[in-house]
Amino acid sequence: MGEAPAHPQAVPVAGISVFAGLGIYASTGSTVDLWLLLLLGLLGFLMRRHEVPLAPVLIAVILGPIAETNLRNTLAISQGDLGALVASPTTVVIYALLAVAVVLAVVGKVRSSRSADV
Amino acid sequence: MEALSDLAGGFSTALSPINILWVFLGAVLGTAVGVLPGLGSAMAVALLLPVTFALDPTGALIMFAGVYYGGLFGDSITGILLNTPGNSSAIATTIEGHKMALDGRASQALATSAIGAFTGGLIATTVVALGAPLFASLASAFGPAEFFALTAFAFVATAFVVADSALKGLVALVIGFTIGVIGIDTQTGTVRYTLGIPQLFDGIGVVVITVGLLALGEVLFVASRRGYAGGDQLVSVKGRPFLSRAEFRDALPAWLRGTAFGVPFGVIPVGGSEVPTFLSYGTERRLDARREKPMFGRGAIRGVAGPEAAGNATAGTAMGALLVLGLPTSATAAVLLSAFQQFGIPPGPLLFERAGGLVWALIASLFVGLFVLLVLNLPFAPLWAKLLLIPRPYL
Repeated sequence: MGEAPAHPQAVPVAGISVFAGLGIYASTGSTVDLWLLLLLGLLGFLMRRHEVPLAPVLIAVILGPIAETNLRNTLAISQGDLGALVASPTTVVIYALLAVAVVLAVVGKVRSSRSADV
Repeated sequence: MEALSDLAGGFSTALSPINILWVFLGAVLGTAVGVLPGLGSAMAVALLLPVTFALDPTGALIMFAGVYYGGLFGDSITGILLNTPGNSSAIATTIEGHKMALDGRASQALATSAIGAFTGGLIATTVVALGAPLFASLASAFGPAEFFALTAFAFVATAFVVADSALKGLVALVIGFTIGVIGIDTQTGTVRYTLGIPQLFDGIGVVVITVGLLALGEVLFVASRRGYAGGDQLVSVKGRPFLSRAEFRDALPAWLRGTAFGVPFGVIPVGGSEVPTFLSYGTERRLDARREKPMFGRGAIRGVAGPEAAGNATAGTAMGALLVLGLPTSATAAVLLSAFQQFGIPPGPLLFERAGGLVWALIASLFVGLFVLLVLNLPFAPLWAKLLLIPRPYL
C-alpha cells in the first residue's frame, strides 16, 4: 500500500469497501450482516457529513450493555434502592471527578470561544 | 518485582519468530491504514479484526499490538506531508508539522514525529507494565455500582468533553445505545428492537458496527469529497534527512513534556488523545513565545514533538485501562475490547489471573511493536517525504 498515493484516490476507496465486505462475510457467513454493514456505512456517512463524532457511538455500543448489566445488578442487590449507586466512597469520587471534568470542559470551551486561539 | 519476571515471561513468548512476524505484519498494516487520510488506528484495528480470526488468540492480540501503535505512527505521516491528518489525534501534530514540510524540512518533521511517538509509547507502556498488576488488585474490589459509575463517567466525558458540541455528542451516544440494545436481553430474555428479524436476535456484531460506521462511512465520505480538495503546490525537499544534534536537543524536552500530558489522560475515559495532544501543543506554543526566537507558525520542531508524544502516551496507558478495568477510553480501545470479546477473553481486573501469560505476551509485544515501528519509520522518513514531489491531484 506504500505506493498507493501514485494512483487516484478511487483505488483505496474501492479496495477498502471490498475488504470490509469480504472480512465481514468471511467472519460470520451471513448475508444479513452485509446488509447491516451497508446500512451502518450509510449511517456513518451521514454522521461524518454532519460532523457528529463517531467515537461516542462505539463507546456507547460497547459500554452500554456493560453499564446496563451493572446498573441492574446494583439495583437488584439493593432491591431498587437508588442510594446504592452512591453508597461507596469510590463511586462518590468518580462522580465528583466527572462533575469537575464537565465544569472544566465547559469553562475551557467558553474561554476558547472568547479568545479564538489557534 | 513480580511484574518484571512476568514481563520477562511475556517477552519470551513475544520474541518467538512467528510472533515477531505477527507484530511486524501488524505494524506495517497499521501504518499503511493509518497513512490513508481519515483512517486512523481505530479503523486499522476494525478492518484487520476479521483477518485475525484465523490466528490463535495470542497471535491475534500480538498482531493488534503492532496495529495499535502502527496506526498512530501512520496517521501523522499524511498530516505532516499533505495537511490531511489520518486521525483526529494527529491534528495537533499537523499544524506545525505541515509548516515544517512546506519549509522543506519534511523528513525532519517525520523523524521528530516518529521518535516522539516512540518515546511517548515506550514510557506509557512501561508505566502500564509496572503499574497494571497493582491497579488490577485495586480494581478487583470494584462492585457493580463502581463499574456503573465508571461507565457513566465514560459516557458523559466522551459526549461533553471530546465532542465539539455536547448536543452532537449526545446524539452519537443515543445512536450507540440504540444499536447496542438490539437483540435478546441477556438477563430477562426479552427481545428488543429486532423488528422481528430472527438474525438480529443475537444483536449486531461489534465488528459489523465498527467496520460499517468507521470504514464504510469514511469511504463513502471520502468518495463524496472527490474533486473538492484544492491546492496543488509543489513542495521542495531540502536539508539532511535526519535530525541534527541541535534539533534533537530542541525536541527532547517537548517529547518528555508531551508524554507527561499523555500518560494520565490514557486512563481517563474522555474518548481519545485529542485533549492531551492539544494541551501539549498549547503548552509548547506558550513556552515558545517566551523564547528569543519564536518558531511557532514557521514550523516549530517542538510543535511536532510534543503532541505526537502525548498522543502515543495516551494510547499506551489507554491500553492499560482496557486491560485492567475492561474499560475502553478511546475508540481504538473500544474496538480492541471487541477483539478481546471475540476471543472469549473479557478484559478486567481478573484478566491477569485468568490469562496472565497472554496479557504479558501482549504487553511485551507492545514494546516490540514500538521498536519495530521506530526501525520502520526512521529510515523511511526521507522516502515518505518524497511523496511531496508528486503533484497533489494525483494523490
